[in-house]
Amino acid sequence: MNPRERWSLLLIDELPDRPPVWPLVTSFSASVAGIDIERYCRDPEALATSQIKAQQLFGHEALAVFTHVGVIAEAFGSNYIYQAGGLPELNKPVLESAANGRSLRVPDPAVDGVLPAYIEAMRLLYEQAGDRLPVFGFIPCPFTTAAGLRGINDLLTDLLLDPELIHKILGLATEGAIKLADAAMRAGALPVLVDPLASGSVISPEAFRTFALPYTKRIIDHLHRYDLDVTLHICGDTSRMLDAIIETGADLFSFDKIEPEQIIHKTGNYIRLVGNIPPHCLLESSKIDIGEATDKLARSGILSPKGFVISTGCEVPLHCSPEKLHTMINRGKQALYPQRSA
Amino acid sequence: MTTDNQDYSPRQIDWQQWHQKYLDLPPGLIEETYYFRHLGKHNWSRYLFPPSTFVPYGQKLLRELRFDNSEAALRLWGFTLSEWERIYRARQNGMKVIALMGDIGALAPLVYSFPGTVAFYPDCLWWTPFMMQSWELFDEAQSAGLGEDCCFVRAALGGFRREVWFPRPDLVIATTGATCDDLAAVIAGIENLGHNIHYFELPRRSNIADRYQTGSDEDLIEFLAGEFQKTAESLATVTGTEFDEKRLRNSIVKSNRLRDTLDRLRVMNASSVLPPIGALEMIFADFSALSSYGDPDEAIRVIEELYNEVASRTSFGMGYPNRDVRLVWATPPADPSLLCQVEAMGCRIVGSEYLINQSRPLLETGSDPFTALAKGLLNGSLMGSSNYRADLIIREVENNFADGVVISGIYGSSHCPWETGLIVKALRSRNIPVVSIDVSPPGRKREQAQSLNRLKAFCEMLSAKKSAKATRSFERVPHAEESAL
Repeated sequence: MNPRERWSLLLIDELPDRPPVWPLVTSFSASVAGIDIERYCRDPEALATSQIKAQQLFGHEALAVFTHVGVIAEAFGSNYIYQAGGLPELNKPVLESAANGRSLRVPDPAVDGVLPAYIEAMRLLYEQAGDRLPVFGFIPCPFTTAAGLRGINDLLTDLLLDPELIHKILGLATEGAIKLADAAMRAGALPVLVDPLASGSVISPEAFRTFALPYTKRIIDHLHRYDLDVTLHICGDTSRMLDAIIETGADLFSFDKIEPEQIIHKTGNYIRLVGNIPPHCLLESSKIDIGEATDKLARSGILSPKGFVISTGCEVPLHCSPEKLHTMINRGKQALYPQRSA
Repeated sequence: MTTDNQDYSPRQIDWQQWHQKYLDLPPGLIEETYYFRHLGKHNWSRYLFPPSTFVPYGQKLLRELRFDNSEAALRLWGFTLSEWERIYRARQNGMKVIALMGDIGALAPLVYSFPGTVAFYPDCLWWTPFMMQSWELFDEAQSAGLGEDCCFVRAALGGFRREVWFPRPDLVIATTGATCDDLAAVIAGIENLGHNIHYFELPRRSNIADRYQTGSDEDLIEFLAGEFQKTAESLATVTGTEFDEKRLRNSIVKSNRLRDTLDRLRVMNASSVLPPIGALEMIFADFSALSSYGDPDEAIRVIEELYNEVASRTSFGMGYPNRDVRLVWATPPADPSLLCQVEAMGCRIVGSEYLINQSRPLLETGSDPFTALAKGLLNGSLMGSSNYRADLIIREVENNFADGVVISGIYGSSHCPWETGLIVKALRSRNIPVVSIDVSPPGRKREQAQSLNRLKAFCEMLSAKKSAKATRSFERVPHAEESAL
């Protein structure tokens, strides 16, 4: 069974031989390939080559195109700084002044910002390995894009003081995300919606319901019209917003700081789960501890009724030790479903 | 299933265009188009989706095909491409999964007479490496000893070994006797995997040849009817349901309804002034006669809607322009893109011999149902002599006024080169232009280019010949003055 086949079974409610093992190997692959981050973000061949190289080295079971959470905001006109040794950072949001909102144009993934390179990387990966590995295209959700358009501090202030403005921005960000998701699909990629700033560590469950849920749901509804399986990733602690997350209609939820048993108990009958070795473990913990943590996660994960993917809670850190990632992946692959192993 | 947004002008579009056009469909229509209706409406059973839905799941070849722009064709594509999931959903809902191998359409009516069953053909997995542009299934078969000296049907063995492409069948019914050598090797490999196999014996090829010439085949019919009867007993054991003759008669009626619609569809496609539908839609419609893609009731709806679309186009004289060369295609191309390629060369497919002749004739309804199934099976393309198959092709050429024949051989097949040679000889003896090509495995671009060049030369030759003939006819028409004299 190859990774493509394993995922295919998972998505039609069949248990494969074991859960797919897919730590979120994104920009870390640039480190593996010795490519600097700016080139990784702007050069589709560099990104695709890095992903393939990392996958060949570690054997994880999907390819991912993700550079930074601001790709849509950047295409709208926000300015990001690319710096050596780290991920791009927001420098000047395009809506630094609220009055700019009127002049925004929804970016076209074929021409604006780094989006053409982003989509081309998906196409290249699909062309090279799409028959045996799923290719995931990461799409920033509207709330996270809004943070890139307005700046996180102003956004959080406006949620209370100027919600009307934020809804307008979110509407535009949703259109941008739908266009990007559509382009990703046409490049052969399955969409992963990422909303790190809609985390319970940043906003309240009420704010999530008001400012994140409806817009994310709109994107998922669009993709469901085409019958695509959609993964939603939200970092941090989302334990108090799980009901709303299920309401988005996502088919898989990639979770971070929640006990696996807790989330499986609460949501496992409704949604496939993807998680959640903490990324910092891959930096700080010993290989022995990582192996044990993966075993423990797998023991819980295989009990998740709708299926489980052994993963990390967030992106694999840029400076992760390869040996530790190897340990996690190899141990994850030993988790057989009881029905199959019998 | 026609909506106000229907584009009535027939044309072929690519997957990106379908992706865009798909947004015009009303959501209600998508929700109401689902399979296994007896199980109620579920999200998983909807299937009216465009080719772009299947691309991210690895169906890479869809990016290179051309699709008809009608909703009826979209429905056919969605139904065909969702077959593998449908078989899994059948099992999840307690249905018995029956794999049929080698009979190519003859056994499905019997299987479907047992309630709660779903039939499928692992043989058809031979398309998968081409659709996915992948060697995965071939490599898997190779690891079990079937390499490139075996035809593409070896992908079925790869599928059985992977245990992903279909659920483990409750029963495999496989032909033996006058079945092709390569398929026999595949079936032997499957038996080694421990599957529950019921063997269905096809009478010896030499016998068939004799009987075909003499027209006397009563003992063969009796033998085959006995084989069907034994198969019914195996199915009764597996399903826990007694065989019921009335149910088989009903299943035959249903099968006939599909076969009859397909027959009328073929006639209409060939006889219309302009081609009203693409060759790809026609081949996948034709193959619905094998196992109804897992849902006989829904297959009838899908094919009848396609027929209605074609009938409507034909009645208005609508179709694709600039397809003047009329071809008969023999042996189904494992690489379906070849059909699009010849269409792009100005050809249309007006007849076919896709090795599924036993799935075409209407089954008798007044006689003993096992005898009816036996008689249908005796029409089998591969059971008869090569001359029989050549005659089938010649009949298609003559009935459909074809300009030439394309035979797409199967690379590595043990029998095809021999049979193709005989068929080519038979066609040439009748002055029927013919080209035979080997379908190249996925990724073999140099070999593919060579085949395409040969096809192109053949089509150009036929086109030139046709133009010259038309010119000569025109020149022979006397001018008015000359006539007066």
